[in-house]
Amino acid sequence: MPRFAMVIDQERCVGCQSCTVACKSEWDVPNGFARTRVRQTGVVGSFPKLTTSFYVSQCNHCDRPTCVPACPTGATYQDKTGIVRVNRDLCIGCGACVAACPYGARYVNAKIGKVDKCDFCASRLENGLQPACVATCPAHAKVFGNLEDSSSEAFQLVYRQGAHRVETTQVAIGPNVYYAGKPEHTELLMAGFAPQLPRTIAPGKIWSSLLNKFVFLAVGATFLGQAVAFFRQLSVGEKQFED
Amino acid sequence: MNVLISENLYDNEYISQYATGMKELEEHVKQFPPEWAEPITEISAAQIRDTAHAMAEAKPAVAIHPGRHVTWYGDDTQRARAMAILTALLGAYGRKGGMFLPTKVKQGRIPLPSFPESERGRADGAGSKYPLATEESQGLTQGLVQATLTANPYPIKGWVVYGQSVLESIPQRQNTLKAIEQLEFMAVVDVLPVEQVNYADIVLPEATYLERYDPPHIVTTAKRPYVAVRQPAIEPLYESKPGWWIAKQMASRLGLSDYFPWKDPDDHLSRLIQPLGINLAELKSLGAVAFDGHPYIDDRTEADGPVFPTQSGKIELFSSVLKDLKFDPLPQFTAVEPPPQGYLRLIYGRAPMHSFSRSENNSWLNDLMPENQVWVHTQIAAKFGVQDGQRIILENQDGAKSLPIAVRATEAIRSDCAYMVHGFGAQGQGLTKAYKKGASDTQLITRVAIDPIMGATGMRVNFVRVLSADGERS
Repeated sequence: MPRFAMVIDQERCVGCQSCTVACKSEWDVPNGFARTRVRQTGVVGSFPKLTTSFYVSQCNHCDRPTCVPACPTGATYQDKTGIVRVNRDLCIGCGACVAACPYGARYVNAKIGKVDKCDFCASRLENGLQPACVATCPAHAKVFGNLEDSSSEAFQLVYRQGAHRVETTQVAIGPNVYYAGKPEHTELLMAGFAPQLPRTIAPGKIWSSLLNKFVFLAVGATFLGQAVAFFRQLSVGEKQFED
Repeated sequence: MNVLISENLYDNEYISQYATGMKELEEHVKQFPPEWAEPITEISAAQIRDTAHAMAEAKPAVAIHPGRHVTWYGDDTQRARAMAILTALLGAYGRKGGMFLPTKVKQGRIPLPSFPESERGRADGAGSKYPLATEESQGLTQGLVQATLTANPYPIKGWVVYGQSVLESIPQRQNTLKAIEQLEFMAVVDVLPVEQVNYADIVLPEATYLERYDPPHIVTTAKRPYVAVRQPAIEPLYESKPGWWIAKQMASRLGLSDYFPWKDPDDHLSRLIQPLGINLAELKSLGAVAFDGHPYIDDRTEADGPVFPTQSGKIELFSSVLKDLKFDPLPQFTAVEPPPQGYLRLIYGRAPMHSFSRSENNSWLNDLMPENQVWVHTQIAAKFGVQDGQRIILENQDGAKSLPIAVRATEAIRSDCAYMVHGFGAQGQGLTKAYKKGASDTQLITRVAIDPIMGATGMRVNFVRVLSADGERS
């Protein structure tokens, strides 16, 4: 069984955000949101001796994901290859997983009322294609591969060249997006974008927020029913009158 | 160059085989030791020496890149020549790790009737006022604006604008607007409703690149030359038409069909790629086809033509062409005017997600970067009393004011400069997302420095000061 991972080479990334656009196009991501983002780190130092770099973020498909147990409906799950996925049929858009992700990799897509995030382009992988962001990167800064395959470029980068995970002592859940970069660039990345402790939303809150929706729906349905009955009565009445 | 030559670190063998004018160059650069360059460049003489030594050690694998936008101060031909001469001293033209030599690709020709001779010559000065700016180098847009304004060498009554936003991309907007006012007729062919469509008598909406065929893209300067073809992914939307259709239709309605002796893009493309040994179906399915390249001197064949396309066939360190035209045959340094007290030099550039002023209205790219910021050094921001993120107005030396623009206070800029990404502050109301978002550098470039050699327009000669967003000087 493959174990998929993404390696991002900070020394190659030029910050063009082509990956973000390719992903938006592939997955119809609404403006204001992204499944993969590029942010600048730094700038530190004083002119002209400066250090800066880029942090490319996306779902990390963690070994021990905090989003999976946070999901109240079982919509978020980890598949056999380690890819963390969202089953849209089960997702109720409550956002518990968004709060639970230490990397800010998830968002609620208001257009469809479901949670969305990177799935390593699972459907493209099934067709033998690379993830859209990898295929489009002009700098070969993103390498996708199977860590069970020692001949893969990803394996080489992770196990031979020291690409590392973005983890802290508080948040160590085995992310499968790795970063290769000079120590000063790693340092900047951690200073600006270290993972945050997962936030939890009490299950009661989820159900009550959901309940609200049901209440609105119920009230709405009742009103609609009454309206239909009213107009029907009117039209029936008219008919009777015409008769 | 001074270090490489005085310490004899340059590629002697290469220079004696492929270059002329070494003696004159050697004499010339004696006056420019690192100590001379130190106060000008703010780079220590020691670091300049170290850099020269590192280059010498790596030669010929050294690439001195001139940059994408090279017209800064009006002395740009000479700066570019200095970089080219340094490349030659390192033996890097046509050598591995250095600069590739172009490889010719055989192109098909579609025979055209000869063009009528004009007694008056070109109006823009290319080839006449600026003899080294040739017609093949696409002429001088700025020269055309000047000619229209002054009716010199002759009156110009109409423009057909294509492939350029003249108000956003040509400096001295005030002149361009005046020139447009003087025209009797202006047609604009454009993909987007950019500002110039407001002034057009006729607007011909062109289909976007995803909806049309274009002439084949032939690149000869890569390691391997290649031919790429652009083809429509969908039919043109609304009333837009492909550029080729617009040109062919205009020609036929003006009785000039003979100049477009092809049926359609397929016919046109097939005839142009005919000598390449590939057929159109193949090229269309592959999208692009690369051919064997001869980027290095050692691989060159007769068919590739002369290695260096100069009169002598060699690298002319000392340029007799420039000497004959009474220009400096070896690059001279000209000092750059410093910003006046209280002003910053306005510099401009590009962001990787935007292209010129064309992409700011694109929904996805606008989402990534909806407006530009003006970068000023942290200390300068503090001196002017402006905060990071605060909106300000910039005013240049001639009183031209920008739209409000947010400050980015950063260490990543010299303290005598202000920088912004070009292409923002659009004035076309039809650009619903980009209209008046951010500020336009072009609006602040009211002054230019024309390079007397090539006629190009240096634009980094404008200075700005900071006004608060309500227009008060801070």
